[in-house]
This record gives sequence, structure tokens and C-alpha cells, in this order.
Amino acid sequence: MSRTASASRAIGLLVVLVAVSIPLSIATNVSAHHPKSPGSYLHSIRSVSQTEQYCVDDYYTTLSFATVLDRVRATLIVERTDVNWDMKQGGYTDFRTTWDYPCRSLNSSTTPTRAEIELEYHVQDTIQESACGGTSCAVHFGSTWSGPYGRTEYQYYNIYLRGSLISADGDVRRHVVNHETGHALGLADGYAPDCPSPASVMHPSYYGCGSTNVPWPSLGGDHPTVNKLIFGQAWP
Amino acid sequence: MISSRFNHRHRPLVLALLLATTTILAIVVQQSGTSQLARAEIDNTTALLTTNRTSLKVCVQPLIPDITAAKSQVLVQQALARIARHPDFIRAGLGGKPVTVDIGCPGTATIDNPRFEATNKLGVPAEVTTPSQYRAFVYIASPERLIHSFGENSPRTLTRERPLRTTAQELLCDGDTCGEVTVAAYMSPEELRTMPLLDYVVTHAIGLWPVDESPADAPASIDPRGK
Repeated sequence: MSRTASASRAIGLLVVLVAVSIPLSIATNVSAHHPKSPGSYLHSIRSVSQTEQYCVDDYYTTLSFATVLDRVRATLIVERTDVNWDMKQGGYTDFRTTWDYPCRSLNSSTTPTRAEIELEYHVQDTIQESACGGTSCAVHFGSTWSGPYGRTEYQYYNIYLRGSLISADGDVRRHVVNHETGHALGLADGYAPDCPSPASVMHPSYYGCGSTNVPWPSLGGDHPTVNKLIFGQAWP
Repeated sequence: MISSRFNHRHRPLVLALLLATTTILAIVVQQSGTSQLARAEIDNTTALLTTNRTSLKVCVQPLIPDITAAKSQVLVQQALARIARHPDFIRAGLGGKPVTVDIGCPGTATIDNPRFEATNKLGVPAEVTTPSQYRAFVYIASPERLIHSFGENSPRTLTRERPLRTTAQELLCDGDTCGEVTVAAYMSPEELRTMPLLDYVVTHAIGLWPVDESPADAPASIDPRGK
């Protein structure tokens, strides 16, 4: 074989490898745990000294304030401390409530002030935020540019939860609270077929991912992804 | 003979080039088709916030006759010229193109919504699929109207000396998440003429931290009574 032919074959092989690697790299990205993350997220999760203060509100539900407070707190803090969102990522996610009254009674004269609350959980029998389209959803406000991270972050999240999902005290309640809170931590939804990790609390059956809605964030996918966001590591 | 030798020696190269070209063309066509169909999306890599904005635009609209629209426009334009020296202004994607301030905002003031009170003065933003070109709406209202709508101190005010009356004006949604993409800021004519306060409010409204209110100076977590 002449040197020209050998060189030609070598170059040909190289080009084939490059051509094949392009679609393969796309497929690899899609197969990551959270191909569409990072989404928007709370500014406070970047600071270990800043807690994620939350309040709950019962204005538009027949559930009592005590029930609403208890069930959100149970999901965020009390139950399954091994896998819930609280005090994970080296303590960067630190959920606390210091307000024994509904969010609506907070103002600039209370302690804490409304401005110091990062997360407001509004349980509503009929979702009042029209943008949510009648379903539970997470809405972020207070856009602020983070110079060190080169991204816009958000100071506040209002999380709207359908009362029927909170009154059904069980895994349905755990899933919806953890899923919407996951948005505040930067996790985006997974829609079929971009939901390679059905065990993720962000990849629910109602978006075509698997057949069940898992109640807790996964140690293998959800927590490590939030961890990467907090510490500014490459995604996925 | 020459053609035969060429085919024999270079067939792998030609086939490989064909394969590569086809693959790349397929990807380009697919992405081009996607971008044509795509609607505006939230873009957190700039402070402009959406994929349909290419430069910083702000609109001003007096809700009262105490100050002219033209005067309001000049004051906000001057404020933005000062804010352009903010260390993050360029990095946040707000520089590079001329900053525009127009008279008249394309939407209803959030405080005019009957549900404003029910939301505890946080506003009733409009859900949009194509956000306004304006990153911020600046409304000028009477002090009485501002107190009626926001109270003596709005929920987002950090210090009494610097009242911050902002609400989300527009929301962009994707699935079960929605985000503020346009901010409304409310000021009185007197506040508009107070340069440090105007700069403070407009800086917030366009999504930057005021220089003297860096994240390190942001409200610290209070001593918790418990989890």
C-alpha cells in the first residue's frame, strides 16, 4: 500500500470518528440525570451562612393553618432526614421557619420581614396564580445578577400547592412539595424522552417519565446535581 | 486509469467526508428548525432575562400629571447612564448596545389590578409568551397612591430610607415553573428627582445589586427559633 493511500485511510478513519462522536456526545448529554438543568434558582443556596427561610399561607384553602404548616414542614425538614432537601450539600440548603403565622401577615415591620423570607408556600384549593394554569407550580421573583457566577439568580420563590395534594397526607404530598422545592434549588423538569432518571423527583409520570411520582429527591441524581450548582461545577 | 486509482486510494476519505457532511448538515438543519419554532425562553445568562431581548430598554409612564413624561424619561435616562458604570453592567449583558428609555409602557400597572391587595402587595403579573422588549417599567404615582398600594413600607423595602416598590410585571412560564422577566418599579415624582434613590431603584429594577448592597450585605438570616 502506498503512503498516500495509508494517509488517506488514516484521515478517513479520523473523520469517521469525529462524525460519529457528534451525535454520540449529544446522546451522552441527554442521558445525564438532569439534561435541562440548571434552571432558575434561589440566590441564598449559594451562601452557607444564609438559610432558606420559608413561611406557609392558608388563605385560599379550607385546610387549617396548623395542618398546612405541619405538612410542609414535615416534608422539608422532619421526615426522611436522610434524603430530604434540608441540611444537604454541606449545609448550604438549610430550611427554616421562624414565623408561626401565615405569610400574608408578614411585612416590613415584622421579624422576620417579608423581604427576609426566601420561600413562600401557598396552599390553595384552587390555584389563584393564573400563570400556573390551575396546577401546583413555582414562581420566582427578585432577579439579581451574580457576578461571581455569571448568572441571574432569584431572591424569592412563591410555591403554589394544590390543597387536595396536601390534604392527601402521604407520598403525593411529599412528591409535590419536594418537586416544587427542587425548582427553587435549580432543578428543571424532565419531559419524556429527556428524563433518563425516572427515580428523580423532577421526572414525574405526568411529564411522561416512568409510571410513578417518587416522593423524595434521589441521592444518586437530584442531590449531586444541586451540589454541582451550588459549588459552580460543570453540568451535568 | 487516473480516475480508477483516485477512487481506489481515496474511497475511504470520500465516504468519510460524505458521512461527516451529512451528519453536520442534519444537525444544522435540525437546530435551525428548532430555533424558528422556539418561543422566547428565560435566559439567566444575562440580566436581560429572555432570549427575545438584545439590548437594555426601559419604559417610563407617569400615572399622574405632576411630572411630564418627557422629564421622567430624561431622569431615568440619566440614571441609567450613571448605572452603566456599575461593575457588572457589561458582564450582565446590559452594555454593548445603546440603552433606550421610551415613554409609555405596554401593559397595565400591576397596582391597578383588583387582586393586588389579595397578593399582599406583591403584584399580579401578566403571563406572557413573548415578553415585552422592556426589561423594566417605571411608573410614577402620587405618594398617596403609593402608600395606599404598598403601605408605609413595601414588603421588599430593606431600609426605610430607600423604599423599594417593585413587582413582577410579566411572567414567562414553562411547565410548572414561572419566572419574572419584567419588573415594574413605582416611584413618586419627588423620589424620581432624588438621584441616589432613583439610581437605587432602577439598579434593582434592571436586576443588579446596588454597589453598596452586595450579596454579602444582603439581609442576613436571623437567629432562628427553631426548625
